[in-house]
Parts: sequence; C-alpha cells; structure tokens
Amino acid sequence: MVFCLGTIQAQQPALSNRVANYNMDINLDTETKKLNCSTILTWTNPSADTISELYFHLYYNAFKNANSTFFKERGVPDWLTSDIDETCGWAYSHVSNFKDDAENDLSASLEYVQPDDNNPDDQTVLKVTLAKPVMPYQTQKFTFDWEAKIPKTMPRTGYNKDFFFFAQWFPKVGVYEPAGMRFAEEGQWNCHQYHSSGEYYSDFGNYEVKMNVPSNFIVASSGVNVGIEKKGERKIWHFSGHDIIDFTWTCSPHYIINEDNYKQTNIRLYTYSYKDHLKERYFPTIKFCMQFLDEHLGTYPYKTLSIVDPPIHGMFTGGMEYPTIITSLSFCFFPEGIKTPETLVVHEFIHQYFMQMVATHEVEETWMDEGITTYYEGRILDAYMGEHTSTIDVLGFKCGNKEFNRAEYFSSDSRKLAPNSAKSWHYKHGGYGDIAYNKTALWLQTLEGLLGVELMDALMKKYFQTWKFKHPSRNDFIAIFNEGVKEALPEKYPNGLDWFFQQVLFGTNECDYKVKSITNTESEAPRGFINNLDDCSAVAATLKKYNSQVIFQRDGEITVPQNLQIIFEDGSSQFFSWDGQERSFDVSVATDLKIVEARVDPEGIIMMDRNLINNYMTVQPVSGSVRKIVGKVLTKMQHLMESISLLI
Amino acid sequence: MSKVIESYKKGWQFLWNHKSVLCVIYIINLLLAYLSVGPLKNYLESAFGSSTLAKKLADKFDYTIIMDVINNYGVGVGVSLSSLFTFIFIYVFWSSFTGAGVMGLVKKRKQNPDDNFKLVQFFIEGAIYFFRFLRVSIYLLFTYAVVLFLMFKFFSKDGLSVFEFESEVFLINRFWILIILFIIIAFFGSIFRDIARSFIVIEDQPNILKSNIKALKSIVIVESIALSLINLIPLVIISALYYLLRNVLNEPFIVAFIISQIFLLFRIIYRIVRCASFLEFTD
Repeated sequence: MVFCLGTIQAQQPALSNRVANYNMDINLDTETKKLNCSTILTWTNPSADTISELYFHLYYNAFKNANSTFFKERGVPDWLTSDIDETCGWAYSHVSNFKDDAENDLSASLEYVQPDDNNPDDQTVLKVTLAKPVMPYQTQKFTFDWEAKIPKTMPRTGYNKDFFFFAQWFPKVGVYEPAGMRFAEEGQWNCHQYHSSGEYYSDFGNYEVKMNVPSNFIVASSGVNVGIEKKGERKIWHFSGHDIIDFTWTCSPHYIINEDNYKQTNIRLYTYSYKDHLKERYFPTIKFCMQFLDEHLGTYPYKTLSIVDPPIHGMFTGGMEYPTIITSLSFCFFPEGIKTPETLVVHEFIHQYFMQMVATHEVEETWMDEGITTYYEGRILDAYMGEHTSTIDVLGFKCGNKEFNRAEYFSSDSRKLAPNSAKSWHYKHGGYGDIAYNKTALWLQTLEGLLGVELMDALMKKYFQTWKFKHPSRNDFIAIFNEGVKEALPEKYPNGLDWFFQQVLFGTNECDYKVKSITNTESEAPRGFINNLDDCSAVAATLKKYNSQVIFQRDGEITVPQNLQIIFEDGSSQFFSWDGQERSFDVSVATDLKIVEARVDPEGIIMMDRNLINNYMTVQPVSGSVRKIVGKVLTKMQHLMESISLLI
Repeated sequence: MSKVIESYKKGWQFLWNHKSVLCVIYIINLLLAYLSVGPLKNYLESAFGSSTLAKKLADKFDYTIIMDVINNYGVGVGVSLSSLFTFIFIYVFWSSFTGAGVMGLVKKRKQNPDDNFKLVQFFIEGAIYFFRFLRVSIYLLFTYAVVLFLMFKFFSKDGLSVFEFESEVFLINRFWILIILFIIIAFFGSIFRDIARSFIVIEDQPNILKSNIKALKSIVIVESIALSLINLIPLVIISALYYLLRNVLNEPFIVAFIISQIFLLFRIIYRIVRCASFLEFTD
C-alpha cells in the first residue's frame, strides 16, 4: 500500500548543473545499528578533461578508530564518547561491488588516500580507478553497495537510544574542478579528508532515496516525501531532492510533526512531545527569516524545509545545516528571554543560501559559509527581536546578536591565531569559531557601514544571484564588490576594495581608532614683525576667540577611512574625514566656541574597532555618569549583603 | 496564638523605642557598601576616562560597553569583584553582631525597663553574645552546605550525562522540587537560628549546645512557625511592591535610589523586629 504524504514533485526545470545524482535504497537495522545500501551514482564530467579516477568521501570512517585525522585534530571530548568502547560506538563505511555502466567490477581498484596530511590511518577518502574513463561532458552510471556501522553520539551524526541522525553518512563523490574554476590551474579533484571542522563542498544533483525503517519510526529528510510503502513490520519512506549538494535524514519513533507554510514552501517541525510548545517560537522566527532573505537575496526555491529539534540525548546533532533540513537545539524549559532556538534556526536556515545554494567550499574558505551566515544572522535577529535583546533578555540582562558576537570575538585570546583565509584544518590551536564566524561578521558589518546598507544589500544580492547553484571562491566575491563600488562610489573607492579585503581576509591585524585629546586655547593677537619690518608690535586683528584642536589617533594596524565629529559648546557640530592612514591626525579650528566633545566614527559603522569607548571624548568630566553607575552597583550590594545576612 | 501576636507587637515596640539601632545598622550597611564599590569606582573612572559612553552605560544596561570595558581595561575587574566579596564576608559578621545586640538589648530592657537607653548598650550586648551567635551561624551554614550537597547528589543521581537522559523534563521537575525543599529548610533553619539565639541570650551559658537542642525541639511548634510567618508576610508584600515600583520608577536615578533605600530600611526593620519578637516569644 502506498501513502502519498507529499505532492509528487512535478518535473521542474533544473536549477543547477546536476553533476552528481544519487539513487539509494537504504535499509536501517536499528538492532545492529547498521545501514546497508545499494547506490546508483549518475555522474557527469563537468570538464573538457578525460576522467579516469573518482574520489569519494567516506565520512563515517572518521569514526573508525582514534587514529583518524578527525579524531587527532578534534580530540573528541570524553563526555561525548565516554562509553564508546563499552558500546562499540565506533563506526565504519565499507564500499563493495563497485561497477561502472559497462559492468566492469572496479572493487579491486578501491584505495584509501590521504591528500591533506598523509595520515595512513585515515580512511575518509576513497579513490576508484576507472576501467572506462568518463569522457568530457559525458555522463556515466556507477553502482555500488555499501555497509555502514552507525557511530554512537559522534559530532553531528549517529544514534543514541532510538534516535538516529544521518549526516555526512553516505559515500559522496568529490568535486572535479575544471581549470579556471575557483583556484584550479588545471583540472583537479577536490576531495579533502574529513576534518574536525568544516564539511561542505559537493556538486549539485538529484537524490532519490528510499529508507527502509521499522514501521513505528518517523523519518525527516532532505527533499520531499513522495511516498511511504508499508512492508510487514517495516515501512519504506521515499524522498526526492532536486538541485541539492547533500542529503541528510533522521528517524525516531517519537517525532511529532507540526506544519506551517511560507509561500510555496511547506515548513515542518520535527520534535519530541515535551518540546511541542516551542513551535510558537520556531514558526514565526523562520517565516520572518525566510521573508527577510526572500527580499534581500532571493527566493528559497525548495518546496520543503524541515526543522529538527532533537531530544536531549540527541544534542550531538543540534545546530546544523543540511539541504532543506536543519537542526536546532533547545531545552523545554528555556524561558522566552533565552533566544537560542531562534538564533539557531535562523543561522542554520541562512546556510540554505550560503553553502547550500551558493555552494562555497567550507573547508577551504570557511568564512564564505559560516562568516556570511553569521553576518545575516545578526541582521535578521536584531531586526526581528531588537538590537539589544535578540540573544538574551532575562532579568534585566540584555544582549543583542551582533553585540554578543562582537564581544565574543574580542574576548577570545585565539582571535589572532589565523587569518580569515585559513583552511578549516589550519586552526590547529583554536580560533575557528572566533575567526571564521565572528571576525567575518564584524568586517562585513564594517563593510556595510562603509558602503551603506543599500549598496551592501545590492551587492550581496548580486553575489547571490550570480553564484547560486555554483561554486564561487573568494575572488568571485571580491570581484562583485570591486566592480560594484567602482560603479556606485567611483570617487570614494576608485580602485575598489582590495585594500580592505587584503587587510581583513589575509591578515590578523586589528582596528582601533581613538580621540586622543581636545584642547581649546584662547587666541592671542599676532606678535613680532607681522606686516612690515619697521613695526614690531601686536597687530590688532579680528580674531576668533579660541584656537581649538582635536587629535585623533590610530592604535590598531588596520586602516579604514574615518568620519570625525567635533561638537561645540552650543551643541553645534562639524564633520571631517580622515583617510585613517597616518598614526595620528588633527583637526584645528579657530572658533568663538569651545569644542566640548569629539568623536571618531560617530555613526558607529566601524564595528571591527576593538575599543569603542575611546572613540568618544568630552572635556567635561564623566564623573556624574560614573557616580550613577556606581550608585546602582552600591544599592545592589546593599541588598545582597542584607539578603545573605537574612539566610544565616 | 495571642502570645505570638503579643511578641510581634513587642518587636515593633522595641524598634520604635530604639530607632537609633536601626540608624546604626543602616549606616553601617551603607558605609560597607560604599567602601566595597570604591575600587569599582576608581576602575570605571580609569576605564572611561572622559568617554561620553559612560553616560550611555549609566542610563541603561549596555552589553557592548560593558564588554569593551572588560576586554580593554579588564585588569581591574578581578580586583573590584574580590573587593565586593570581601565586604559581603564582613557584613555576615556584622549581621551576627547586630542580632546579638538587638536580642541582648531586649533582655536588658526587660530586666531594667526604667533605665535610659544609650546606644552604647547595643554594642556592649552585641559584643557579649557575638561569638555565640556566630557559632550558630556557622552551624547553620554547615547544615545548608550539607543539605545542598545532598540535594546535588539527589539531582544527579542518574548521572549528569545528557546523552543518558530520555528528556530534560524530569530534570527540571527535580530542580523545582529541590528549590521548594530548600526554601522550606531555610524557613525552618531561620526559626531554629532565632530560637537558639534567644535561648543563648536568656540562659546566658557559655555552652550553646543546650540552647541549640532546645531550639531544635521548638522549630516545629505551631506558634514558632506562626511567628516566623507573621514576620515574613509584610516582608513578602513590601518586596513585591518594591519590585513592582522598581520597574515603573526606574528613572530618574535618584527616585530609584531613594525607593531602594526605603526598601532596604524595611528589610533591616524586619530583621530587628524578628529578633526582638523571637526573644519576647522565647522568654
């Protein structure tokens, strides 16, 4: 018997080049924790080269033993794998019976390779030598079987109790980059080992996947559910995903489903019953996010979006992004003021645009994936829930998303360990999150400030529209911006923005400008020989009352053009510009009014400035304000002391 | 029950007749709090220098400014915090002293009702019973520590590995049960403390063990519970009113400050009345 839960996808025009297409029949054994699968891979050679080898990711082999590159890099914490030996939570992925469309058995040619670190124990990349090469722009079908032992509570994937989550789980073909694509000087395979940080870089394709699971299990997956077939005590769930770079699914007997819609997209929330109330937070948030991105970048083109909020014992899979399916993370007791569910669902959905549709290389250029996503996360959440309340708003403690990420970055002592251009596995000693996520968001916010939000939006939209369903590199991003600012702001940035990207992408320097001093000196009449050599005396002249000077200083190494503001005692102000190049810069004015205040970057657009406090200076002492702050602390202290004395 | 009400009334009468004691306790509280925030004041002045952002922070909680202060001028944070904790510690001693002073004074006044009250008597009585009161506080503190430890053991009896849990619902239920349990224990703990202290003052023996045993027997007496509740009810009402007002009248600062001081005064009044009424009740 067949139940059709979803609308069978009509044949829609291809959005991508559909290089790698998979047809998979999967059997899940929930007792032995194993997957068995037969796969048909239909692969198109995207180049003028003749391809005689294929490379596959075998992600599950990262969990085969503790010698894998993944384990060595990450040092997976004990709390995650404490019972791995007792329960044999180790995993593997084993490919067999590999054949091409001429029925040549290529199994003997299978060979593990380690292109990144030569670690002989790492088996996460499999090379297949072809008996029948794939000719330029031709398509060939390959069939193979594979068996996987499912890991227990590994990062992002695995099982725990009767909760299963399959991410980075199937043998996935690498990306063949023709000469000229991204950084390829000649045709080459790009198929990195599975590193502890960064996963994505895959070709677009169609996925037809049938999962055979126990009949009481509910499946959530990438793509659209096109049918469920009951077979005895089991059910076969059929999902179909078009123009996506990966395929992820999960199943559990305990999922409950809530639904909503945004335009043509059916949004489904899969969670456990005790977290059902969170739907009131998830749906409005995701719809706001979808609308924001719809207006600012382009329409989400898929028919489904599945949000999975895993149970507490499935936390290891939370906060991740996969094509048309994302995971959040929450506890049922979260008060509304802790915005973690909103933050995660927004962040992971933005990834549908940056890495899923604009399919950048997360391992080689992490910032283009996580960084751009964090930038939009700040914009969307601050717009949705307030710039000072979008992350936490509990008991008077308030914090916005952008300000939280900025503070997190500047609080980290790893923030200068690597430039933004570093590959994911180069963050050996930390800094991945700080630099790839937060630093990028900060300099993108700064870029937005320099260009103006309208131009920034226009260029980001152009970037998205130009590169969706393709694989851009940083050069492509930079080219869009260089071209855009030369056209829109030719006087301000005649040479584009290379000077900016050079500093923020390839360096570890920081930015800090400040107001150093304000002086107001009473004017004196000129003295000495002024007009002629016969008369050495003061000259009566019409003078302004004060010669005032403000000195601005650059303490950081990064240079950015700065707006300067000086404010006079009557409240009027004057604005100046400084190219920000010199170490110091002064503004001198003759005036009848004293300067009472000076500001560097008065609009607060240079978000990557390390210290905003020294951007503002007044000649009036701020002791009144300090007294007020101290007064507040003092009353809290009084009550705290009295409270403790009440108890004992 | 009439004894309970009579004791409570006498507690207020004591306060009314000894307002200077209230003033002293309030002034010491203010002084200690002022001294404790001294390093913070210096720290903030050095951090902000003459930055106008100080005004922004003074007006409302601003995460960015706070974090910029910590990240750029962070050395002083530790010093400021340790100073705050030091003064909390000192205040614990002071509160034992004030309890001793109040209860000792109640006893003295009952014995010699016609003598003129001099503030120095409060300090003398405080000095007499201080160390015995402090011992009661230490026992109580130790008891709370044991209770909290046992509660933690109960809370984590199924382990703390989230991967072992079916759901977090039972955790949060367990948490609330423990919170309620702790409030009940603290309620009876405070009855024990005040009755034990009363016996110490009344019997004036160097060994406090007998007083403590007597107090333990008295904590479940209905009258003791009623007296504690009668004392607590106005505090709960005033606290609720304060938190309501604080949200409404947050600005200007001076208004918020005055309301806060009035509330603090009431909390000190509660402590004095409670001490005096429990001694009247026990005597």
